[in-house]
Amino acid sequence: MPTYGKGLRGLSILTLTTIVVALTLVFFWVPQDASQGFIQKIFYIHVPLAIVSLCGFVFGGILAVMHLRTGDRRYDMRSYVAIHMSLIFGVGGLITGSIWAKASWGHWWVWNEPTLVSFLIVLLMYATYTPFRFSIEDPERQGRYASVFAIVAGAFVPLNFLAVRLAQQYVHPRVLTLTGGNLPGPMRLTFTVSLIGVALLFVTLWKYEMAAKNARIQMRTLRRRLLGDDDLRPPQRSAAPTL
Amino acid sequence: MTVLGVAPALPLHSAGKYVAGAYVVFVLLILVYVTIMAIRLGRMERQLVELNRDLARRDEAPETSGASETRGAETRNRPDTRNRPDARNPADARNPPDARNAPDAPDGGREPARMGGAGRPAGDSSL
Repeated sequence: MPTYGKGLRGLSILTLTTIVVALTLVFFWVPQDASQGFIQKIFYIHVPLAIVSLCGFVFGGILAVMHLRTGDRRYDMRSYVAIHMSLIFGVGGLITGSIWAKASWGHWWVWNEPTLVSFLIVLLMYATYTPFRFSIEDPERQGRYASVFAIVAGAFVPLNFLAVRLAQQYVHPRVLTLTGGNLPGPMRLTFTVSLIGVALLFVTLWKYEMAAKNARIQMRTLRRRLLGDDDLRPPQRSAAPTL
Repeated sequence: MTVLGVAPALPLHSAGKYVAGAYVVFVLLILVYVTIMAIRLGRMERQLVELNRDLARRDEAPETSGASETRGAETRNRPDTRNRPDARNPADARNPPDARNAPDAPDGGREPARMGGAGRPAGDSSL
């Protein structure tokens, strides 16, 4: 069995350092935006959360492909944890974006804004992932069906992103574009550090959760080997994969 | 520090609470996650304690069965009575305890080995 705790301490320190540096840059170094002023500082947490969340969904889809290709249920576990983490980050992105919208537009939510609504659709779609898993009792089927779901939904994420980008009617700011975007140097640097910090946080928490799940599974296996099957209660029905 | 903002949409005293709110949400999410992980870790620790206790119980069991095996060896040195036709009779298992403890009981050599504990044969050591 792989050990996910390896290098976790170093990664945690690196993550913490990067986030502290990012917050320092955001609040003490980067200049205020000319039009939005102080409120623009939400951008440095909202956008990285949203980007990392969407990338995490795609990552979960890639791991699901690996699961179906190899039949190795550890990939199913990795995919499950990646999607679970992405959902948490996505909720963070949604709430911080809503706070920015209230400050900037005067509304918590604008229904005719494609970026917001499309992100919500993606989030709601993935919100069904865990109940979907829970509804399937057989672990083998649960893993396969969930992988198919993760692949289809993972493919939908970039398509959705492209569709929104191609839409003409929008009021959501477009800060990052293929031509370089509208960010001046210090803002770009701060944003990059924030993005790296949030991405590292995602990886760290993913590894933490994988290590915890792995430890639980190993303990169960150990218990079974030491005390025999009769001494174990039957495993409770769970949305999480069982190895 | 260079300040580029000349006419921000919101003055600092109004914008501050929104920015603080957004970052507090971020910190809260991480805190909630860490709390859930801590609860799970506590649960796992309790299971480990339970597992250790069960193992200790198992460790005690072979000692008890070790003593009974000595008794078992004594009975094994006796002429083998287990191959007697009446020993294979299923009805034999229903013999009253006093009958089984009789010196010429057919399963006299096997009974002490079961005293190892938890209804498991003493020789069954998966440790």
